[in-house]
Amino acid sequence: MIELRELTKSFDGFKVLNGLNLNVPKGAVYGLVGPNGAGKSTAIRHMVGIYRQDSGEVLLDGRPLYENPELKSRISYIPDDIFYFPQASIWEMKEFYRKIYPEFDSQRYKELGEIFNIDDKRSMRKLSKGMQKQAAFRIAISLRPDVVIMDEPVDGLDPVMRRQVWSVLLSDVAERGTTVLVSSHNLRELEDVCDHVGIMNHGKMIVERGLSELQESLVKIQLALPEGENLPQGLDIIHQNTTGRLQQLILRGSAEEITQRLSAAHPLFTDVLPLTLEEIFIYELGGTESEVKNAII
Amino acid sequence: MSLEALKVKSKTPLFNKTIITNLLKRFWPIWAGYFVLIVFQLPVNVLSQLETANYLNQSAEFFVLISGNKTMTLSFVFSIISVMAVFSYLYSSRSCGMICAMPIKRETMFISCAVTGLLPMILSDIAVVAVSAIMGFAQLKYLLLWLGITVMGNILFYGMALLCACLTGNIAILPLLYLVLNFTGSVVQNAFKNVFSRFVYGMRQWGGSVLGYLTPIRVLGRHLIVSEDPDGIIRIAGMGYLAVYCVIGIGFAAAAFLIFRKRQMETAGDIVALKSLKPIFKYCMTFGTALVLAALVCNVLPPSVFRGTEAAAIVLLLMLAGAVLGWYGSEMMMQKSFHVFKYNFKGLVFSCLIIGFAITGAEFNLFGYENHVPKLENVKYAVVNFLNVKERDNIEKVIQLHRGLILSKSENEKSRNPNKIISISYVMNNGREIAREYTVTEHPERFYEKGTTENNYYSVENCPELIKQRYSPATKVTENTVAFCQIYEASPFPYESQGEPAQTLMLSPKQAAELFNQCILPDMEEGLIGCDYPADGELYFQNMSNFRVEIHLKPQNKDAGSDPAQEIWDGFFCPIDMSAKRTIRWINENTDLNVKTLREVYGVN
Repeated sequence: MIELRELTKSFDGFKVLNGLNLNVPKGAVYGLVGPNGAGKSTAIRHMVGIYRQDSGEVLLDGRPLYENPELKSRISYIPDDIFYFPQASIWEMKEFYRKIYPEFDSQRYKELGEIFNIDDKRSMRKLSKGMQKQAAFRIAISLRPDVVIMDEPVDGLDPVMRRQVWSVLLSDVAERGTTVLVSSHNLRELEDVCDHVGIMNHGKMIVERGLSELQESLVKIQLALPEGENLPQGLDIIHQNTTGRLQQLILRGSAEEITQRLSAAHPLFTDVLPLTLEEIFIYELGGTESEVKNAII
Repeated sequence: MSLEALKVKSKTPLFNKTIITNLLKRFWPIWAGYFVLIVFQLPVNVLSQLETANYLNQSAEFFVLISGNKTMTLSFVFSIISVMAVFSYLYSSRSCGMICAMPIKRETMFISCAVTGLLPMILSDIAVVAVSAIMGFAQLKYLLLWLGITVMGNILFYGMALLCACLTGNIAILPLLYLVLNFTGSVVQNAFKNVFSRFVYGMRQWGGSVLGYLTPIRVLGRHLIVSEDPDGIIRIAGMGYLAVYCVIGIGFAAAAFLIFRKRQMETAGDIVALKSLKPIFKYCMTFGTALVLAALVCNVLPPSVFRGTEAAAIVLLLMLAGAVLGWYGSEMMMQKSFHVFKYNFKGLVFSCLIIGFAITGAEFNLFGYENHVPKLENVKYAVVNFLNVKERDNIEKVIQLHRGLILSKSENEKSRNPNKIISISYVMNNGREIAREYTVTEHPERFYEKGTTENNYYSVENCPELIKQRYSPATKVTENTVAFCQIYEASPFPYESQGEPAQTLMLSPKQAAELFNQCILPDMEEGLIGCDYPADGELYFQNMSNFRVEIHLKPQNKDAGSDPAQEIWDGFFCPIDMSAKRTIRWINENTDLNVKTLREVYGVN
């Protein structure tokens, strides 16, 4: 659905995107994560047609997106910092979008009013940040987009409203096959909603997989070995922590294969623990980022 | 929903109605303000002038066109305000992101915004003309001419504002850039002449050059002139200039469009929006600051400091300091940081070398500017101290004077108390102008010494062609045109009592016409009357009589009525030289006046 191929972008000689490859399948809920300055927002601005790449390709359904109103009309973009015309009310902003986007669904907008219960006539300027976000969601979802792209979308929303927003978005994914790309630092939340994850760093994609596949590719094991026994050779250990006899290992590979290999050391105790997205993020970045590595140690 | 159902037409529309209506809705007070001022400018102002302040009995049509001229200022101001409003989204990353993420092509966006900014101004102009036509206070032809002037002014300044809008990403810089684009030609021209004339021998501090044409509001102010003659015929000059500038304005708008298509939206907030323009901006800032700083300081320092090589050294130091300021200043603006001194300074060194080369080259005449004297056959006419020299013999004298001034460079540059300015310019056969100006110290004792500056200068100044320009009345002197005439004794010391009462004689118009046509005019044609002498007075006292002739001619502005303030003065007012043989003979034969030299009367100089 959305494809970035070897995308590069420099700002004043500094390469923000350095051969970025990204692939968002149709109907996916894709979490784009990465440390600050990884280039996530820049990548997103390419995906919605704001920036023009220095090289590489930005494709939607295999067609270049930049300066293509037909494709752009299928995308709904919710930035971190929402813009509205200074004197405009929610209704006026909605009217503006309705006239620009051919598929704007006024009925949907009306229905969403029950969830996002803010008076339409209120000036955007006078709303709190969270309320502005709600208004933006209401309008963005009413565009009936094929693709929703969000940069730090739920910042400023209370927990109840966050659930509401995700509920509406996920129902669109289920009913209409909407593709969602979301960039966020709230990895616990992403873990709940995403089925695909891309981890970016230094303008490149480090890992891009389905969430379950990603979770299966790393294993967290706690074990205690008998005295005199060592860990078998050839394990791909990316992190090791020892407290007395109890060792905690983060290893690359499948849980089944690793436990089988560890059994050769006759462990007194073995426990395979699930890895959270946050842990995957930290340990994956730890492989490339010395600062993160130090922080883990 | 199927993808097909979501497809919109791929053909690029020129306008986006939603964008236009949104902009109009948000920024209507700007154009309402323009409309109000235009209404005030045309019907209100014209009618009020006709009723209250028209002492010259000029027609409504005349005031309509004058008002058209004045709308240039409104166009200048409102163009930039409109552009700032309609393209305001470009200057914040938030708004830029929102608009650019929308399914609207850049071309459509640009045209929609550009048209929205300009169209209400033009529609206001048309509406005001329509209302004025209905009111019927002026002929439609002149109202349409007003419309043409105003709309061309709108297009010119709007085009310039559009270009500026696309060159910068910072809304605070936009009006500054607009001012720079409008006035940089004049500023650079004046600063350059101001600085270089301090040490380049013969360079004028003033005067125009082709750079002046880069300031349209100034050029139009000078050349777009409306006049009404006594017969009520209205003339408007300078429409050609306006038309050319209007075409240039359209060119600017087209350039803005091309730049807009290439513009990277991440430049929102940046001083320079185009990567390729950053070095140009930096070098312009470097040379511009160098020139302006030098000009500012030169104006503060006393002129006596600036003579020859010392002046060149001072200017060089000032310009180098300005270059450093400009270089790092521009870097600070672009980087938005004061920590810019680590950045590449090769360009600064290069700029300083160019400045050094320009100053030393100019000072040591490497470019041949100081020695350049045109050939006689290439000169159409010369101008010496604002008087035209058209006769070939006299042009040759001017060239001789110019050559003499070049030879006396060393003496003139060393002089600390110059008391005469000699301005020479040549209009060449190809239309080009060569202008020079020299400040010299006059030595009266060299007046009769062949080849000296004084001798050369006064032989030009006292040639009949120039004397006639200085003194000849525009109207023919006849018995019927003379209002009154007197010959009177005039002291060269106006505030001192000379004891004896001054002799005065009134002449009849007939006598005045006879004196002028039979004596003064032939004397003038031989260069015997109306001569000029060095300032110190010795020669003046020897050669001048104690009498002056004053002939007042009747006013030729027949519509002036009884208001003397509206009369156009014409006549002959000149001291009588002792060499004016015919004139003195006539006075001796026809009057009792006792003509003597000033020296004989006053005995001193």
